[in-house]
Amino acid sequence: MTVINNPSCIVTASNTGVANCKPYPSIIKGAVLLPKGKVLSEAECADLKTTLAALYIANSSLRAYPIQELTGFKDSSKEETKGTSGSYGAEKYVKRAEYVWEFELINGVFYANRLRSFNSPNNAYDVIFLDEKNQMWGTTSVTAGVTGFKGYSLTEFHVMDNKMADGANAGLNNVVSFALKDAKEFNENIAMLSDATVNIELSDLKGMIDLTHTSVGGVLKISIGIQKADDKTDLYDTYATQFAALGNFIIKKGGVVKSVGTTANDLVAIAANPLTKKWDITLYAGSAGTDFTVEMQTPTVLAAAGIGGTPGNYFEDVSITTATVTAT
Amino acid sequence: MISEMIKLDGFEIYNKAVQSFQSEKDFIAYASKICYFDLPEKEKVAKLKVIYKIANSEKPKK
Repeated sequence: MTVINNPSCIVTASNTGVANCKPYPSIIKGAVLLPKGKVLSEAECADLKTTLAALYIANSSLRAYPIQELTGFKDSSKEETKGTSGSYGAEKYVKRAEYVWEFELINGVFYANRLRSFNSPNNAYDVIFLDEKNQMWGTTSVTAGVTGFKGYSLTEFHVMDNKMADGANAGLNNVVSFALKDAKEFNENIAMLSDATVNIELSDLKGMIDLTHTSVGGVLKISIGIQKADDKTDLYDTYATQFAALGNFIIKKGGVVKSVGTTANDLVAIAANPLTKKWDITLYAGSAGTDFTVEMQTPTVLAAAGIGGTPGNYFEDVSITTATVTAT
Repeated sequence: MISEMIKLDGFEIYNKAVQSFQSEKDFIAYASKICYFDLPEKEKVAKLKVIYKIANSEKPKK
């Protein structure tokens, strides 16, 4: 029953015995951006390595994005604010801390640009942190009486602009800033998963690497070259044989997916071509058109073909190209 | 079970496309132009003969 004029001035007190185990966050080495509101269940936490690996390759709206390796830290938080009460001047804490954590990265300017794609106030991601003791830090979330592990809500994620080398630092750093939305999440509701329970380490925080491809049409064939999107590393020398499978590609004509067959515009073969360092797809006699498009399969399909995947990085193609095929 | 594709050293071909050739000679003439085995001609032909044999061993008997 609702009681009017009841301010609920109930004092809850915890006992204050000191336990042997006194956990604190250690130096933070990595982070994972989780889709906003994502709560990891007890079962998901029990095999966190597998859970995160699956989230890294999930569809983009459900995907988690690992960030490693964080190599420095600056605390730009605002401390709790005190205010004076009345003309007598009694001081009281009137506002909680505003956490702003700035971490350094030395993964290069292209990586920084990838992270900048997440720059946003009202961020769409929460964040969990991994420290050097392989402890994962987040916050608790209780749903229907069940406690889960959740990332810290962010008011802003921001990668600061590049700086020029000054001759004093060994490497040019980028700085990524996490502004936490609610101090309570890092205090009363702090949650940690210990190394003993999660068995996860920094090397498990590997994100996907974007690929781009080129395609050039010819007589009954399409030649495809594949590079890493950022540094343009050609994948031929590493994956010549693995990519030589039609199942790695989605070839469409006029928007319709083509498969193997023995009529015009069907796929017949694929061959790694060491002369051009490309893969040549052969089409059946009579194939022709300006409307052939080339895409690559999902990261999991590529991984099954031996291209990327744990314990290394997965690959995701971010390009769709068009090729003109002639019959003669 | 009949495999749909025959895969060998960076070359993959649809087995029914191989079966559609009238003779081994016709197939080798065609395949020589679309595969790039980094081998002397004699060994390349030997590989293609293997592919032809595999494809036709999987061909349903009439």
